[in-house]
Order: sequence, then C-alpha cells, then structure tokens
Amino acid sequence: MRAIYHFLRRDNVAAIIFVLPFVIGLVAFLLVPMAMSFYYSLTRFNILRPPEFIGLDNYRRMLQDVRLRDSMQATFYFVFVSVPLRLAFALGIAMLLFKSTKMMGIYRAMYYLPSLLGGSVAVAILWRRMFFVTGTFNSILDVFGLNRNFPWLGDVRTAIWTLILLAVWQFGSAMLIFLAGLKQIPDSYYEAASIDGAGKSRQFFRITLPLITPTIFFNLIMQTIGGFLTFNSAFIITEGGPLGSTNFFALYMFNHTFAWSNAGYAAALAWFMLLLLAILASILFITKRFWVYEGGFS
Amino acid sequence: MKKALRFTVVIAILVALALVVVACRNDEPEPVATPEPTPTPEAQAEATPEPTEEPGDEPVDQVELTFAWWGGDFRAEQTHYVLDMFIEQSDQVSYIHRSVASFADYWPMLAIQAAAGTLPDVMQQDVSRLLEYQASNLFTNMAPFIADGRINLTDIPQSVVDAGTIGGEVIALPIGMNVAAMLYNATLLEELGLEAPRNMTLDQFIELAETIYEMSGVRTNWAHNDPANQMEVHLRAQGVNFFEGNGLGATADHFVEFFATIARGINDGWHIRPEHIAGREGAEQNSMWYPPGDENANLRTWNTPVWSNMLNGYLHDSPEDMEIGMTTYPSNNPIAGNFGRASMFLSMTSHTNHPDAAASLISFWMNSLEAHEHMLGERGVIVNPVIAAAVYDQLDEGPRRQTEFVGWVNNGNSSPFNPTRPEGAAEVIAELNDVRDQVTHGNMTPEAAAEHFYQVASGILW
Repeated sequence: MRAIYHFLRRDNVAAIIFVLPFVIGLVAFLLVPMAMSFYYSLTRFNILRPPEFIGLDNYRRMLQDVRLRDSMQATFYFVFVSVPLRLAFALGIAMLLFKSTKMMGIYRAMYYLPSLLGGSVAVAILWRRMFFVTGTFNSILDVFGLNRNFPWLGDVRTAIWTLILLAVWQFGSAMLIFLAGLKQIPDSYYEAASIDGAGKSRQFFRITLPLITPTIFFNLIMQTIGGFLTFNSAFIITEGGPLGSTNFFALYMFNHTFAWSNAGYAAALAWFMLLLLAILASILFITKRFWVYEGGFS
Repeated sequence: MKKALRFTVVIAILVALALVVVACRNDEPEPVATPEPTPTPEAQAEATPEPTEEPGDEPVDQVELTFAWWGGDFRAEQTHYVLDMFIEQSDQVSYIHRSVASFADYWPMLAIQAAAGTLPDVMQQDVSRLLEYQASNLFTNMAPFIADGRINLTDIPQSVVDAGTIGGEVIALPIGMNVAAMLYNATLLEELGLEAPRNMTLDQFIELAETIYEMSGVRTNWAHNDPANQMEVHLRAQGVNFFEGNGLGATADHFVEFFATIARGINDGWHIRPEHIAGREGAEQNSMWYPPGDENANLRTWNTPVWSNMLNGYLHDSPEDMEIGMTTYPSNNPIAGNFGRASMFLSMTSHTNHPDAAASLISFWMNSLEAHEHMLGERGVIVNPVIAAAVYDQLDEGPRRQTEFVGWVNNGNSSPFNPTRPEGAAEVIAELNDVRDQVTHGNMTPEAAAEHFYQVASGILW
C-alpha cells in the first residue's frame, strides 16, 4: 500500500494518469477509426459483410465520377458564397452589439439563438416549409403583390440560395468570436483617431478591421472547414436536388455509405476531402502573413 | 494537504478508468439478450418466474425481442397494436423493442445495426435487399422452423413461401401481396366526364393526361415517386427485365421510350414540373390534393404511380370529398408489363439470440386471425387464404378493393416477375432519378438520357 502510494506520488506518474483520458479518447475515437477508414478506402465494402481488398480502385473511380465532380462544384459554390457572407454578417452584427448598454446581453443571446437552432432538423424542416411553392416566403411576397408561386426549392438557380441563407443566418458563433476580438482593441486608439479627425468609417477600415484580422483569420478557417462538411440542411431541405445542385460532398458521401452500400468508396471520398481541406488550410496559412496583423496592442 | 488532494484525484481518475474498462468489456455473450438495451425493472421482474407459481408448472424463461419495420404513422399504430397483442398471448416473450423509419431511412439504420451485429430479431424486408443481406449471411434460414412447425405454414400456399426462398433457404416470408397501381382522383375525372380504365395503353394514357390538363389545368405524375417501378413495367412490356442476374436486363434502346414520354409530357405541359414536386412532405402535401384551390391546379396532379397496398393510406389521408380510384400503370403491352409480387416480408436475422421466440412471432403474424382482424390488409393482400376469407367481410373499402384489384391483376392480367435485384441496384435507381431530373429539366434528350443511364448503370453493376 505504501509502495503504491509512493509510486502514485511521483510527478511523471501523476502526469501520465492525468493525460490518459485524453490519450485513450484520441486513440480510440480518432486514430483507430482513421486507420480503419483508410483501410476501408482500399476495399470494396458494403458495411453488411467484411471488406474485400481492391487496392486503389476506389481512388481511380473518383477520377471518372461525374457526380463527384458536380458535387464538388456545388460544395465549393456553397462554401465560397456562404462563408464570406456569414462572416460579413457576423462582423456587422458584432459591431452593432459592441456597445455596453443594459440590454446588450439580451440582444447578444437573441442573435446567438439561430446558431443553436440552425443545425437542427426542426429548423431544416421549417425552412423547407417556408420555401415551398405555397410556403410562408411566397405568402409574404404575395402581400407585396410579388407572388408568382416561385418554386424556390425546386429551381436549380435558387435552391442552393435557400441553404446559403440558412447558413448565413447561423452567424452566432462567429459573431461571439468577433465580439471578443473587438473588445481587445484599446479605446485609446479610437480616441486618438477621433481627435485626429477620423470619421467612423475611416476608423473601421483603418483601426478595427486591421486589428481584428487574427479573429477574421480564425473564423475563416473554422467556417470554411465547417462549410465543406455541411450535411443536415442539404439532406433535409433539398435532398441534394434539384439536378444535384445541392448535392454537397458530405451528403454524397453519406449516400454512398448508407443508401448505396459503397462504404469503401465513401471512405476514399473522405480521405480525398481531408486532403482537400488540408491544402485549403495551408493556402490560407500561407496567405496569412500578407493580411493578418500579428503584433500586440500596446 | 495538497499532496493528499492530488492523491485523491489520481485515485478517483484510476477508479473512473477502471469503470470504463469494465463497462466496455461486455463482448462475451450474456445468457439474456445481448442486442437489446438493458431490460427495464418491470421486464426483469416479469422475466423471473414468480416463486408462488404452482410446482407443476415448468418455469418459462421469458425473453425480449426486437422488431423493425418501415412505414408511416398509420402502419405504426397497427403494428404496435399487433405486437402488443402477441406479447399478451405469448408465454415466451415479455417485451418487444421496436424501431420504425421511413423506407429511405430504414436501410441506413439497418446497415449500421448489421455492421454492429445488432440487427433486430425479426425485421421487415424488401425484395430489393434480399440478395445483399443473404450474401452477407444476415438471415437465419427458416426452413427448419417450418419443417418442425415452430413456424406454422399449413394454410399458406407454397408459391408464397417460394417468393422468399433463395438458393434453397427460406430467408423471408411474405406478409402481403401487392401490385403496381396508379391511384387517381376519381372525383375529378368524374367531374370532367372521363375514365381511367384498367390496362390502359401508353397512348390512351397520354391522351387522357392531355385532356385532363386542357380541361382543368391539373397535371399528371408519371415520372416521380418510384420511377424504377414505372421503368420496370415499361421494360417488361417490351419483353425485357430491368435487372437480370448481376447486371441490367435491358439495353439503351429499351430505355428511350420511358424518357421520351417524360420529355413529351413536360414539353406539352401535361406532366407536373419537377420544381413543383420538390420539397413536398409526406401525405399532407401529396400532389393529388396539395396545394388546394383552383388557382393552384397546375401544382397538383390527378394521379400518383404507387403500389396497391398504399390505397389504405391514401383513403386515410386524402380530403373527405375526394374519391380515390385505382388502375394499372400504362404500358404498350399491359399484360406483359403488369406484375404481382410479394410486397413486404418478415425475416429472422442471423443476429437473433432467441430464434424460437422470433419464430413464434413470425408464426403469429402468418396465422393470427385476431392480428389480421386489426391490420385488415394494411401491408397488402393477406397471404393466408384462410384468414383472407375469414376477414373479408370485415374489410374496409380500401383492403376490399385491393383484394379485388390484386386478384384481377394476378388472374390473367399480368405475367410472372423475377423480383430480386442485384447489389448496386439501389445506386442504379438513384442514378435513374438523376437522369429523370435531367430530362424533366430539359437538359438531356431522351436518346442521350437512355444512353447515359445505360452507361452509368452498367458501370455501377460491375
């Protein structure tokens, strides 16, 4: 007993025990599944029975997959439109909410709410109903005499925009991070600027924007990765249609895994996505030194 | 003090870890029901024979089963009722855990369970998945249970058993007979003075569709819902099958007419626009009655191509003032095109730990008059002729009309059908949906669509 006590009291033993929960989680829930998924990507695997090794066939198949090409196109379009819009919106709202009055706490909570709800199935269903031909959105247009029963979800040009709108509406988490970033900028900068005669917009572009570039950078990386993995809204609202215009990558992967019994191919797709995200993130990191301010606030 | 605290924390973490390890170590088969969630206290109490039991009685070990099916609310109500009825009269089964999903969500759910080795004891099965599941050893062959009467099929015709027999193994037992059926708004047709006779040819059908559109603005649904089924009838009318063995049974030329009919309907206006079908939800927004109002006539259709057993649901969900008619799918050779088939099956999976109890549930389903008096043909025409005859007088309008319709199709108005589909068929059908959309959006000519579909489908079924 005394020996155990002494053993446990040693610093490195304690350290190992404290990191163990994390290490076990990392190995069991990340590294092992990743290794398995890589193996599956080299097999023909329908989930129901053991995988059968086929080498690089799945990766070769990707090169000729027309639906994959269309799916990539839809995903890129969605990410490159929705992420900047969402960040701009989040920053705009953060600027508005960056005043310390009594009501601000409530406003911030209210504006954050859509992000809590946004990924949920219930909101997706609500969205589908809103944009149906006879849905709320067309009824509102009707009030202004604009209703032509336009099928927002069924038209190739507009379906993806309903999803973009939903994504932009979920600006809350980015907004909170922007708020934190804004708080870091010392008031004295603004005071000095106004004494020197700089107006509000000049202050925004010359002080605020440059000084929150680290926050913008962080949000950009996180939201881009999140955007590429968008699944719920496309799965529920548009089911990938019309004409595959919202058949996002994650949905395509899901269908291959579960609906079409090609889990092997889907695993290969997942690795392709990982590679793609790694490249995109590296590009963002390379551009970082051209536009991100990394000095302090002194 | 500090050291003591650290010691306590370290011990606490170790204990927690030990608990996790112990909790994870339940891969050895337990005597009672591994796949099911932990039994509830009441269930456990039930499972243990009461000590007060008479000494003469053999204590019966009661078990819990799992059962999964697909379908809507209407079916769910009935299924719950029947399962409860079974539990009440069973001396083997104390509880049945249930999972239900829509047809589309059902297969992903089951695939995950299959991978985890936790398939339900008894599951509803579909012809399109039989080969795939059998090849993966996910079924228990029911032949021995049938041979010794644990599954009693005395009253069931051999042809019914054959429908779920593959490679000499009885892997699935049909629980309803079904035919492809086009349901339509009979009230509207009557108002317009039109009729949708059975065994319509494609030309008659197109003429009818055009007339309805001209007179009322209401359009036709020919290509949506289940295009694979429509395609199947269409190909059979040309003397070929959609699938044959592990590949396609037809060539690109055979597919052209199907796509050409869609293109014609879209160009001439009588076919519903694809963007008006998108985004609809379930029975409530069915294109036959939603959205209501004369101004929305061109967002509605007079018909929906479905299955005969869906008549009950349609009668249940449609507006009260709408009569629902039922006819065959149109094709150029209706008798060659029409087919009857077993619709839903019950299978005992290979993951069951209680084959005897599972068999008793299946046997109950095949033979219980009380159960069928409640379900009354909701899953299609009852396969047990004795029960079918016994409940006929109690049948509602829906099942009665189904029985008549299925009987009519099967007696001289159809030809035999090979229903099993190869692995990869699900993806081919998804591709058919995509190509159909290309045609309805006017992005592909029928010839190009047929050729493209043939190429892609052949590539999938390698």
